[in-house]
Amino acid sequence: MRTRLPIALALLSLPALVGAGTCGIIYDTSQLQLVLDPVEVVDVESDAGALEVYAFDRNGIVVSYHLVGFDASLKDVDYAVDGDQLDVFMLKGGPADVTADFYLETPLATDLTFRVDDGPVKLTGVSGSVSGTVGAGDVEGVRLSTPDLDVEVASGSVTLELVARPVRVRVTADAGDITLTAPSGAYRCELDAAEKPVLKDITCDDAADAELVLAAPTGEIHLEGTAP
Amino acid sequence: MSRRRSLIVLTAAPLLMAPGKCGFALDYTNTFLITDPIDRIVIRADDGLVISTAYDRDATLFKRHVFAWEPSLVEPTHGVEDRALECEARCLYAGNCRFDFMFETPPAVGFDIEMKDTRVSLGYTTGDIKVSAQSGYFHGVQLRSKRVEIDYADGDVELELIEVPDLVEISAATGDVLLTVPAGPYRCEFSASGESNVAGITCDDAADAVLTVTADAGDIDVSAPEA
Repeated sequence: MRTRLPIALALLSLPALVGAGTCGIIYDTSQLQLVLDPVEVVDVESDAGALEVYAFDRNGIVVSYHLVGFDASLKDVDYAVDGDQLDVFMLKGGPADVTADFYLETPLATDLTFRVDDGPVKLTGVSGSVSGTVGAGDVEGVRLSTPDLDVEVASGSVTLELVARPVRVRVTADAGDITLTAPSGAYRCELDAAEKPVLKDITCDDAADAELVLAAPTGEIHLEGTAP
Repeated sequence: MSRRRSLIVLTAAPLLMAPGKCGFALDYTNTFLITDPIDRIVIRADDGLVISTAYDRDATLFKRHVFAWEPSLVEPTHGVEDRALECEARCLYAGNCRFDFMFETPPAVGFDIEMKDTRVSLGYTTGDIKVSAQSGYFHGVQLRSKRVEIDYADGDVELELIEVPDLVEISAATGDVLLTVPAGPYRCEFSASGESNVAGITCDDAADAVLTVTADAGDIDVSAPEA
């Protein structure tokens, strides 16, 4: 009788020990799909997980993701072509951990929009316009030739390498630093940082035809010009 | 239930189940990089899916996903022979296996596909295409192929050619055909039980390019994109 009581108590307390949304299937799976339809815009919505986009001279788009988490807390993970737009999404439907790390390969000149709530973003070779928000996570841009980039990060740093002179770059890092490398020359600058921005081989000129609007209210801003 | 009845049920169980479904269900993916130069991909398989894109690259990426009941599966094979990537995937019992093929190829790789139930989506290649299937559909996106031959017993065919071909032959016993080709003159042979809509091209018996489309129980729509 004495041994039955602890067992009964343990069984009764099990639901309290298990977190909400953790019952049922646990996913640890990868998917890789090919999208042939020509699209002009890729839109990514992710409640949790990393986003990596690699743009190069190719046809068709690769959508790949690694999904880990509880089925009970997963609302949907998928992709769909809607006209000239490809929607890629992972939406949570419960409180337990679910993450999807997305990896996309896109043709050059494909525009990109994204909302990534919790995870880093890495963009390589992207030459279309870029617009996105990140909740928590660093943003890294490598060999970008996008003419127009607009990124807002609530918590995380932004490091961008632009290999072609942009028309407009707008970056806000509410709690992080901004480091930008771009072809040297004159830009119209609006720079807001906790400390005085550091500029090397880049000059600010209100008459310039390219715009840099960077805000890191609690961090630093570093701008460096490279040989065009 | 009496012991005798239980015994009878247990003995009959394998007979009550569909053949080839005893044992494990297999669900796995293989990815291969084919570095040998190839001109075409030959697929001889039962049921499944084929999707491929083409662009300027050196090697061919080949991904194969298999779902099958283990007793039904004939282990899929592939190899390069005479500049052809030959893929074979068979099932001992119909309906117990699915084979999905995905490729990323250099620009001029063609396809020769014979399958039973298959959804085929090919894009961007300049290589010739030949597909024969019992059911499913064919979807061609921005193709530059000179020769396209598609034969479906049951299934829709949607083909977009962005360069004038030498020959297009499409036969869909049951299904609709939607063909898009560049504007210009073609030798046309269209036969449909339903509607035949032709727009943007001219049919001329003296033309070099040949379009032969048959839809025994379906509609035909042939058009050229507006300039």
